[in-house]
Amino acid sequence: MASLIPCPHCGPRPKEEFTVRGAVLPRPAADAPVEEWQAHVYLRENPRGDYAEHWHHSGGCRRWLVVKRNTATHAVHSVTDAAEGRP
Amino acid sequence: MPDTLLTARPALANAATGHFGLPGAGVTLTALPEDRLWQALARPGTDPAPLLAYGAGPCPLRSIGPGQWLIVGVGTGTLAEAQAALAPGFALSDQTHGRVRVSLSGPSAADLLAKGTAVNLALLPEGGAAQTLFGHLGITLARTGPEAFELAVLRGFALSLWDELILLGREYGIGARAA
Ligand SMILES: [Zn+2]
Repeated sequence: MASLIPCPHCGPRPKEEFTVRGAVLPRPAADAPVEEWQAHVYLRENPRGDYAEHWHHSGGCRRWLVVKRNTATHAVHSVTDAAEGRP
Repeated sequence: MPDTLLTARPALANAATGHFGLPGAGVTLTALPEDRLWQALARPGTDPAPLLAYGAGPCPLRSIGPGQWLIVGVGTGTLAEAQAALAPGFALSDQTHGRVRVSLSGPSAADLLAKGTAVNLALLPEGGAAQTLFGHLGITLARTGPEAFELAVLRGFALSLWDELILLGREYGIGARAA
């Protein structure tokens, strides 16, 4: 796992300061079938390669971030605030 | 009448004091008075400048994330007055009871801190602050001078942090004292 995460607010910090929530996935509609919700909550790919995850900077600025990284090379491609681009 | 009366007592009242480790004063650790410590949250894009009026001492306003600050030191006015003056852009909450501050100073203070945090202290300017982990403890770290820092920690962890700082400071010679 990548050990230094460049937080857009705090600068480079060790992964120990963060809590990983998991893959960035579109949320199903509230009235979607239970199978769809089941898959959204529990089923995950475990890709070798590029991956986008929600990380919480729990030991720092306490912002939710989107970390795009490569699970094979440990390269971190980008880290942005999860609220970026939202209304 | 309750069986036990609650008594206000400094969190570091019984902390170890004196000189530890090698002779010389590489680092001085000081427990600071438990005076004002407020947290401020702002709506996105709000200018933090009006907050400055409510702290005192070196580095009174500590940025701990987007739209989040600690306001520290003895200042004038009450929380209610400040809240009224700063509404609706800011929300304040009193954390004086919840966090404790200590100062760490001396020629080896930065070397000691570098053992516990990954914040690049060479890039932390005077008056700058960072929310980070020191070992496993969450702290608000601020540089208050070229060789002077302040650490704010949750009250229940204050003694633990104090003892750890002494342990890590022995190789430089560390003096620990109440304010
Ligand atoms: Zn951060």
